[in-house]
Amino acid sequence: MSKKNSKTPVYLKPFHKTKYSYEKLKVCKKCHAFSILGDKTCPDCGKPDLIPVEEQAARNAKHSMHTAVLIAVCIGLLSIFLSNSFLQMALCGIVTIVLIGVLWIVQRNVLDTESIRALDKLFYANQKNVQDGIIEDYKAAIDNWDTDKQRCYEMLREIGTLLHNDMMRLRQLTLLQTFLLRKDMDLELEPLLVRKYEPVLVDYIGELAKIKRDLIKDRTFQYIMAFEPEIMGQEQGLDILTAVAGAAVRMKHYVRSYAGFVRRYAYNLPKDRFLRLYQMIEQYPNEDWGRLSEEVMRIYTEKYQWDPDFQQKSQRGHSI
Amino acid sequence: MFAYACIGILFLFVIVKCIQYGWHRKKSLDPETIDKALLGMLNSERDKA
Ligand SMILES: [Zn+2]
Repeated sequence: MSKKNSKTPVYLKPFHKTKYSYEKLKVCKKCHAFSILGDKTCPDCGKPDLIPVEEQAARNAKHSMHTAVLIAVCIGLLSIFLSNSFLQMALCGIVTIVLIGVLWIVQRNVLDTESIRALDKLFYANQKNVQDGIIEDYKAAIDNWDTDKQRCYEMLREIGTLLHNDMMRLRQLTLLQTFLLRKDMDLELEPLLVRKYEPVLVDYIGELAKIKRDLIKDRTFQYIMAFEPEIMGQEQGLDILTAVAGAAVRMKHYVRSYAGFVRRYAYNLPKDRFLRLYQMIEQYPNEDWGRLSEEVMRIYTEKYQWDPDFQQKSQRGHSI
Repeated sequence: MFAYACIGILFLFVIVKCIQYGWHRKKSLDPETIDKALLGMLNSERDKA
């Protein structure tokens, strides 16, 4: 059976990206367990009390503010209680109301900054709980490894927003390689780049270079170039390197930055990719392309000199 | 007399709280810093790519 046929078609849930990774984290109101996977139900105590950490931080900040107001009210009431006359009582009452009013107005204006502070405090005071929660989430995800690969990947992808290590990345890549990848899938690449040469990552990059070129950016080109000899030695290595070079052709910045790399695989580029490269070089003749422009012209002369697509586009290019 | 002492304490309490809030606001934490601290806590330097 071919490698492609052994892959499973899946429909991955869309991945919701957040500005800050902590926005994914939830905490249980009852047992203070943290989780990135749970929706409402706490994975630790099973109660439906899981809330976003920001909500918990805002609650903590409000709680602290309410305590301050309560202390102020108590002192104010005590002053009224200890008054000797009705006039003194009225005076104490008015002053108390005014002071509490001032405190309340100030509190309302600083709720946002106090909530952010409370969030920092929440993480600092619960370091172990946060770590334990993420480890439990990881274990829960791995429990699905053999039974439900799609669910396992979706869970690891969520955990991966907080847990950045090569083991997490390799697990996700291994799962992704069992799926039949499609253009419309919500895929990611840069967060999955590892430090070392990993054939599973190279295979994944090779697939993305064909179906989702826009995911291939500077860090991926640098990774591929760092392990070029190893990739060349791997099965379909040349195809992968050529596909990545083809992905570089989509933007002038990449072609200019990795001109040497593109030059090495320009000969093997499919016609449409080579045509794009050829047009780019033609369009910017004053750009410093190094030896790439010579190589492109050589390939053009050898393979496409009489190709009507190149003639038409070339004439159009000159007329612009 | 005790009533005025209480009002004095209340006044001081409110002033101290307002100064504290103002101080927190001046030295306000950036969500980005908190995010980095959290990621730093969960990931060792060795793991960062
Ligand atoms: Zn719980």
